[in-house]
Amino acid sequence: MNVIECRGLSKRFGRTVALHDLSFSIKENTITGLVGPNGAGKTTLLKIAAGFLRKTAGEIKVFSSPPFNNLKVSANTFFVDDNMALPATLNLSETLDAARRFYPNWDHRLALRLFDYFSLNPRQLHKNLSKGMKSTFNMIVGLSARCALTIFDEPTVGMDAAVRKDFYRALLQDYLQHPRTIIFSSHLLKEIEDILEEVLLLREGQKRLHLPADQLREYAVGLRGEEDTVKRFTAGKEIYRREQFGKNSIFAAVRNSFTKTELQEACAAGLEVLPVSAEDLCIYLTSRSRGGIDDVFNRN
Amino acid sequence: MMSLTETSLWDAVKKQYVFKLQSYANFFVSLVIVQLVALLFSAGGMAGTSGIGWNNILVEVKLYSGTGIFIFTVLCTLANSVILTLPFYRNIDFSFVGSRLSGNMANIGFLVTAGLFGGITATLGSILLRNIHYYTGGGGEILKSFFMITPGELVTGMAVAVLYLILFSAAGYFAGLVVQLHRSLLVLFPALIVGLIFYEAANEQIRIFSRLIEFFVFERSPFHFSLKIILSASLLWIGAILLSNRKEVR
Repeated sequence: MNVIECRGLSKRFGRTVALHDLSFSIKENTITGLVGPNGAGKTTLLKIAAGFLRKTAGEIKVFSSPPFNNLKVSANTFFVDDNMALPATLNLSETLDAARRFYPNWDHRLALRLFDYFSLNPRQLHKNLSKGMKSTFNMIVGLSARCALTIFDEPTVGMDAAVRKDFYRALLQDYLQHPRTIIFSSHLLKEIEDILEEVLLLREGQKRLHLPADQLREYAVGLRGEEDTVKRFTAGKEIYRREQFGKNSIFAAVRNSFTKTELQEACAAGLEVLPVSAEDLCIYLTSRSRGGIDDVFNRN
Repeated sequence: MMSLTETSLWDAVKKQYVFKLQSYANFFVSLVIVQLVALLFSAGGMAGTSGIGWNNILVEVKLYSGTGIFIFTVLCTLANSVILTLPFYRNIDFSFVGSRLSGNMANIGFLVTAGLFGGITATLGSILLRNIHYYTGGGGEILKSFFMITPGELVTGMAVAVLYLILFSAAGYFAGLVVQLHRSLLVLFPALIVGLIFYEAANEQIRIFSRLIEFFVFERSPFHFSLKIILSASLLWIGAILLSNRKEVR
């Protein structure tokens, strides 16, 4: 069953197009990473799925219903981001108790244990927390709510590296024990790719890729070496990135449609065959120019 | 698959209502503080103080009234109802389970509760004012017309105060949402209201606000009065729900 189904989804804010003709579906019980550069439409998409924003055109269904202003979707979706509005009068422990009453699947033991582990002060007010602590607290509420669809929109804002690592572990552990559908938007693909099963890459409001995470790692390959040789091997292939190294040496990232023998030939011809990490691939696929930032400096 | 939970509208409203009572307890505290301040002002004899003298006798008449407490309560209730419409407070409704309808209904429930609380405390405040003067004597004779009131009158007074507060909070809630339709309305809407009041004061033919006041204040039948208030408040609530039902949040 698909938890989210999108067909031709578009969203405009005035004259700005945030999402354009977006179609994809997210299967139940998967962890999907939503990645893309700033302004790609990640948050807009997630807020439409959570029922906060209205679509402009096309179709989106969450749990087979249109999500906007839908109580059923709201009851089964938890949306975590860094500006979750919470009453300024409640301390953290009171906020946990309040959240608990809303969610029948709420796991209070987990909430308290995570609370303890991250040494949050139950008496503190949410508004007085540091950015990282706020994110940690929001994440705890999001995990403990045990909603069938849990959306994390840039959940690690302000967290230090250690807390981020713990968070990824906690997320994975809880997901394995209580499978559910999780969407995780982040800029730090390198950090989260190990826990992701699917990656949905957006660029300028459109889908660029939607693949299982392990396929993404083999999606492209990098060739580095003498310019003419690289050009010979990459002829006719989809080139994602080309970078100049020194006078006569270049690096090219291309779609990995090589056979094993072709790659061996490339090596024999003096080329370095390099893997392209998922993160780099996403950067290549979403950058406006094939040369990246280098193009700004090479104006010949 | 994590089982999908079913939530009825009524269920969500109840949960949000309880959440609001718990989180906005400070609204009630601020109301009581405002009432105490008003009590302090009223204790000095606020309205209609006058002195008459003939021959060598000077008679000073001081009018003590609980009206000041009530007016302060109305202002505080209006402020609270507008605050509830502010984006931050609306967004709180969407941190946990809720729809626009359930959030509005919970807000209405909260404002009705606040109206009950405010009306009862304001009426008790005026009783307290009487007690203060009774025991301190106020430095003179107390003219006892309207001083002693029967339990029946007390309850009627409370009910009227509660109904007025509910009407004002509904108006404030509606106005708060109207103003948010467009940024310019933040200036235009209050200007329009104030402008109309002045315009009406200057022109005898225009009778919008005076008719509105007569419609409620001059109603002698308790049943019709209650009906008028409840229907008017309901219209404002429905208006508020319609205004916010398509609104984007967060």
